[in-house]
Amino acid sequence: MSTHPVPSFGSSVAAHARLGFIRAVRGRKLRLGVVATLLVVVAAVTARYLADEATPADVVRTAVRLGFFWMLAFLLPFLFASGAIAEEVEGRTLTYLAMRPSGRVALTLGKFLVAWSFSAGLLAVGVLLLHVGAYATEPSAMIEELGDTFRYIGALTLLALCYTAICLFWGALVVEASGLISTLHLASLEFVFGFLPGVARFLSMNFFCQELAGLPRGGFGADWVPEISLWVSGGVVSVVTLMFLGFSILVVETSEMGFGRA
Amino acid sequence: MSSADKASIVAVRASKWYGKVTALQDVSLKLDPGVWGLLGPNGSGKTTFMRMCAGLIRPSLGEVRVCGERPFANSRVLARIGLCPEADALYEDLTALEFVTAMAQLSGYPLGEAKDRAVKSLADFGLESAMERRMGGYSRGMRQRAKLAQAVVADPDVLLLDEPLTGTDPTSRQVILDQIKARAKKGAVVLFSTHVLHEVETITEQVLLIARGQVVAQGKVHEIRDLLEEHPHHVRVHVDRPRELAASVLVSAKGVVAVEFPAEGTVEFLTKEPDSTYTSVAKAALDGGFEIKALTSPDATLEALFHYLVERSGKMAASGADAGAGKAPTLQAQGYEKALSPGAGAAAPSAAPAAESTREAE
Repeated sequence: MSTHPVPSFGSSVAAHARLGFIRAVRGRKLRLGVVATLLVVVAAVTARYLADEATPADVVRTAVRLGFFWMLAFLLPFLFASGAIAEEVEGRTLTYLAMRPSGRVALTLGKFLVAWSFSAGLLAVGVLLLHVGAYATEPSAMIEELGDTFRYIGALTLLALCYTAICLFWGALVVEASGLISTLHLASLEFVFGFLPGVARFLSMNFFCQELAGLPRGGFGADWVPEISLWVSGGVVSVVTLMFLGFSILVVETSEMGFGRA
Repeated sequence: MSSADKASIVAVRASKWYGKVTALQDVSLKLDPGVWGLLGPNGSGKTTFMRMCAGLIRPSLGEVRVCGERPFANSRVLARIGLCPEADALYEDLTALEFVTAMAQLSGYPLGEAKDRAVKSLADFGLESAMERRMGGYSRGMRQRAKLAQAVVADPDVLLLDEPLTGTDPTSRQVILDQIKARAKKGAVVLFSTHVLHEVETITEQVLLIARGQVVAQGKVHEIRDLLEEHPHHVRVHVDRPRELAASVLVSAKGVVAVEFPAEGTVEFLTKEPDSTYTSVAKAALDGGFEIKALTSPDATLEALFHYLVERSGKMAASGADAGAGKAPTLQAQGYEKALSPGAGAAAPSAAPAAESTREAE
């Protein structure tokens, strides 16, 4: 009998991520994500050149707020993360991954990294394309305003991290209805609460990330929302992300993930 | 080599249930290196047992140890296990080479070595010319071989094959069986599940019979065959005057142990000598002028043997409960397994007093 290696944690996560990456590149979800991102960018850039009075900075800010924070930041993590584990269970391919010595924690983190990379990557590329498109006629301003654009990208990346963890968690916990439960969570706690007045808005990570991006507050009773520091905003989103990621790992590590079914 | 290092599967009173459904009940066994056939009808608990051994699910009660350790989420043990699942599920967008390479990487091999191992495994199963093609376009037999290649890519000490011959043509079948034998020769425990007796016969003599979640017999294939011969057969006759026919047959037939009238115009003989019973029925029909509409034997299959063994274990459980009053029911159930085991010497460690009580009951 030969000796059998037990993979290190790092190589296990990398192996899961590599497999997930190959599958995502060949899958339909990436194409759908690219199309959705391009639609938002093209619509915003078109508006910039059709509306005479719109400045590039206004166009970028408005498009980032409406198209990226309120649309793509929900859609992309949902697309890549909510089915990451649930679809493996439904397709009965999770068996191949769960019975390997690489372990279930590495499996969860590998899935998380792939879903987040694609979500954050598309958001970042989309915002950069928007920036270039909006400032195409003003090259000097294009360079000067890059700081704000990178700030948007940073906030969106953090938000994608959080939403990826949330969708992954619901996908692992409620395999049969991962899409529905993730949608309900994002639509109610994240979207609706992001418009509410007062401290109710603090339930929405989208709100905190918009604060981090330095976007003006909108929605109902925006003036009643207390001021908070950027450190607190970043801290809250990070803690919530880690919490949901931790729950996802716990669920995958301890549960039988539908293997009891015939 | 310590006992923890040796390839083995040990189950001690392992049970698994989902709500009110019992998938596996009080299974105790010990499997040493070699090929083991796990025979049972659909829904008998074969897949549940395989999944338990592969560390995918945990027993609700009792325990399963593979190579001396519990397999659930245990990387050390999982590194020594290969599983070919029953479900026809693969990553359709990947080529077989990508798939098996990824599985080798997840088993701890660096990319280069993982690829070499994947190529060898796929070649072993005759997929060398198709390994660069996406598996979505594979035939059923090729998919089965890709699944088997991923199961053996890390050279496991314990190989769990859940219905591995499903959908394979005779050539693939031979390739698969040769590979299984080769793995067992190297010292691996190969547990091979099927519901077809002759599939097992071609590669092993050692079988476990599982039905309704219980191991109902364990031993050699020829002993199972003997049981098939031995166990009382049902001979059902649809006739115009069933009671008169029964009376005539009972006079001449040998080995009839019971007569039943399950429906209007039907008589059913339970016999240990079916040939004699058929002859007597024919003779009675000629002599008495009976109008026979149908003559059937509903249980001339392996399925019938399972039912027979389960029924027998149920009856023994009932009488054993009296004999072993005061003992835990699980102990008695284990005794029945041992008592039923044709190869009792190879049977699982189980409670001797209970086994004695069941023999008394016999």
